Amino acid sequence: MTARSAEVTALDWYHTIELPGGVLTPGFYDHRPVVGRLPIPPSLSGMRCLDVGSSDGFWAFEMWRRGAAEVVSVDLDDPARQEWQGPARRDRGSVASTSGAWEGDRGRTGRAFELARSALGADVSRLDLSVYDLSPEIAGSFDFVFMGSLLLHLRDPAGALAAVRSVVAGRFLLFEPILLSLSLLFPRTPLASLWQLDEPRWWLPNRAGLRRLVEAAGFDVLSAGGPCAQKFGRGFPRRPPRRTPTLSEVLFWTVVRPLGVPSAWVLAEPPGPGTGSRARAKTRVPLLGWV
Amino acid sequence: MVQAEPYATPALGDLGARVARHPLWYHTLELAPGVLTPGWFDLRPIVDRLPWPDVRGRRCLDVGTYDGFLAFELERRGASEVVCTDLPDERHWDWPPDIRGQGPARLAAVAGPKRGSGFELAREALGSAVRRVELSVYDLRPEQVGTFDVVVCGSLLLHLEEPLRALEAIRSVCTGYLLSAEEVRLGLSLLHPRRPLAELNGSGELCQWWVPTAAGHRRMLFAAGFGVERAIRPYAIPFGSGHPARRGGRSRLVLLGRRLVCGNAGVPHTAALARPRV
Repeated sequence: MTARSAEVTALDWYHTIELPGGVLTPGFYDHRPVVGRLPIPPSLSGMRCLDVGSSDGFWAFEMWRRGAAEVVSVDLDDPARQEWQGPARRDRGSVASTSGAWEGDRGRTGRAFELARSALGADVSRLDLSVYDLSPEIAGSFDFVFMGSLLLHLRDPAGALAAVRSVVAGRFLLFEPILLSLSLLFPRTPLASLWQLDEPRWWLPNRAGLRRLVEAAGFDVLSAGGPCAQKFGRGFPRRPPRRTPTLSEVLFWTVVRPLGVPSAWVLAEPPGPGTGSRARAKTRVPLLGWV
Repeated sequence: MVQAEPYATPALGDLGARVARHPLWYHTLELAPGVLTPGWFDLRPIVDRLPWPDVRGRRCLDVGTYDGFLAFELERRGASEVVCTDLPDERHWDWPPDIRGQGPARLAAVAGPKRGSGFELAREALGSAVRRVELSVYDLRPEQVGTFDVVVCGSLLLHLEEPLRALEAIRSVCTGYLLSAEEVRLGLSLLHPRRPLAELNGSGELCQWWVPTAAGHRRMLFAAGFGVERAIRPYAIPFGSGHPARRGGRSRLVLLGRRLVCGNAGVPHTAALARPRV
């Protein structure tokens, strides 16, 4: 075992990242199958790029690989600063979570990112910053901004996207889990479901809801896609840790675990000159939302 | 409780004329026998259906009071002190981005230049001791306003970009009960009675963001740190005489359905009585 693979196995990983020397980090998630299906420009040459909620840095490294002039990766070093539902558990620190959110090992994300960055020799800078605090004064503005699997962990996704909007000068790509059933039942009604455990997890939108969140932050949507699957990685258990009592848990372990998390993406940009004050009529034709 | 002499001062002799001169009434309020404000919404028929806690002798807060209907109701029910909050200026509302440029001016055009003047007129006419504080719900803190035995908040969360941040701010000043009454999606509530859902708008001059289902409303309260003690069946807040004619009204079938579920016509709401949970 090389020194690097020993270092890698000593850490828990959120992302599956290919490091030099054939070392693969055993991440919770493996975005390698989906990265080619998202509308990230093949060349980001000359662009200033931002990865919001970067975790171990998979997407930041991808932007660096595509030739970005500068990549900034933003995440919270201390998972205790994540937003927990309910008043009590927020301060407890190390609580096992079924949502896949990491909160046990403080500073883990920063260490994993640092290890991957030095192994790759990636020129990516890291900011310990909450998405809500993004502003041109603090971070500057960016030609391309990526945000993935972060909204569902936020108490106030609309406010967070408004903060993201303030630093987007070029394009914004959002890639998030969605509610598959309500995306099919209500293709045009923007809905979201509130998570029902005291965890750092809140709203999960359907496809129309994800798109509307982006619009409601003041973006013009250029294109949207999905559902597609976010695959789990080697680091995510294949079998349930205990007997599965509920239907939703059985569904998760038999369908979602092997196939991946249903997700969708939205590509958007700030309104161009002259369109900013145009009230965009949002006529919707609800299927069942008529009562 | 301070009880001023009702309806006796000479300045109120022309109360009816002053009510008529006020550009927009949000609430239908009975300011004196026979003197009704032409409000957009008339809470009088449903106010007794709300799951009120005992407010007698309690320090109470009404958040987002507008013309003050619920604040005056708290006082009428025997609260020892009533504070209500609202924004001083429509520019501070959470306007959706597509209307942010014009929204405040459009509202000022129909509602007059100054928020709070309707409340002030009503307070004077009712001889009420309710104190109005100009403060955003997001900024509620014990250091600002103290704490309250009972907090009521009605039809406010749907107008907020960050409703859960607002509920957590409310929780920071609530030591006893929160009575939360909010608009709900009725059809979706019937289809998904247990699933906590919300419909997102975030567009247009009605300044609406999240409208939950009944289960969504309860879970929002829980997620913000409240335990729900009692929730009531959906009801509808009737439109008042001042409400503008609605374009492209709902079909008769839909209105009939609403009436069957809620017991009356109007905007479907749900209400819950909650306490801070540990």
